[in-house]
Amino acid sequence: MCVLALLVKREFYGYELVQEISKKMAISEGTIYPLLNRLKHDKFVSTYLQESTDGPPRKYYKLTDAGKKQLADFKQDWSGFVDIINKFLK
Amino acid sequence: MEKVKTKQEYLKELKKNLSSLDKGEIDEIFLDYEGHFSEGLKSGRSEEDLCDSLGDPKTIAKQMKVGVIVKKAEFDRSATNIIRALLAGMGLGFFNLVFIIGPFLGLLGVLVGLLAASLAIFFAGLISFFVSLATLISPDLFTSYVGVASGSWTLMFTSIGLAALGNLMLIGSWYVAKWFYIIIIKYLKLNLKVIIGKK
Repeated sequence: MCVLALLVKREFYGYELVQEISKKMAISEGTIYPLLNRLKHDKFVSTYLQESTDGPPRKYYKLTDAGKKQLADFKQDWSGFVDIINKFLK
Repeated sequence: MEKVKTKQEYLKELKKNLSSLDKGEIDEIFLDYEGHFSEGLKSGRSEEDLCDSLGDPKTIAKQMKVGVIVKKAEFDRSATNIIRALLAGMGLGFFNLVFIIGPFLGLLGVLVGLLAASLAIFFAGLISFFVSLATLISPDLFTSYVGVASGSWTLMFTSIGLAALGNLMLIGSWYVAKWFYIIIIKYLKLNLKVIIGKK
């Protein structure tokens, strides 16, 4: 879900995305790729290759419409959930 | 296990553990990891550091495989696919063995029991139907074995009822088996979410 939220801002290539996430969360860098792979199978993200100025072409990840919808749904669920919890914590 | 320290070793190990997947799938995964190494090296990190931060290639390969195989089982419901998905799920660790095999065997037991019961009722009905039919046609055929020859009309309708009930139960358990399949897939996905932490 965090991956989708990052991708809604702009398109990332794998390494960049991994750095972005591991900056914010303690997560093994290697586990992000299986996650991306599954998001791709779920058709929430799509990928394309783009030449980079130096080195081999980069595999970019892009949010699909289904991914955007999924993210919107999640946002709604999440804020609903947080509201409920907050009511108890007050 | 010896620790993997170079890009080459890492990718080799990954490939070895992914070998059961399609070629296209493996290539796709490799694009990610090769990219990771080339970008990482460009930004001045060492191969060893990159291997470390990626984590055990075997674990990665397992996570990739479970994702792909469960997805496959979801679209193509066959016994082989579900068993493969189960095995892949179990590959994630002993912890999961308990959590996957336990409910799976439990549900399977219920299913087999239901099936056996409905078959038994169906055949009991069928057999008593023929017995009652036979006693109707020739009343003294079974009288020496079965003491119910007199009420054979009742027996006959009861047996038709039994056979019909058995049949209904068979159809019912077929639906249960279908749900069972769907539930197992859902469960495996949930399991994955817990392990990999999708959301």
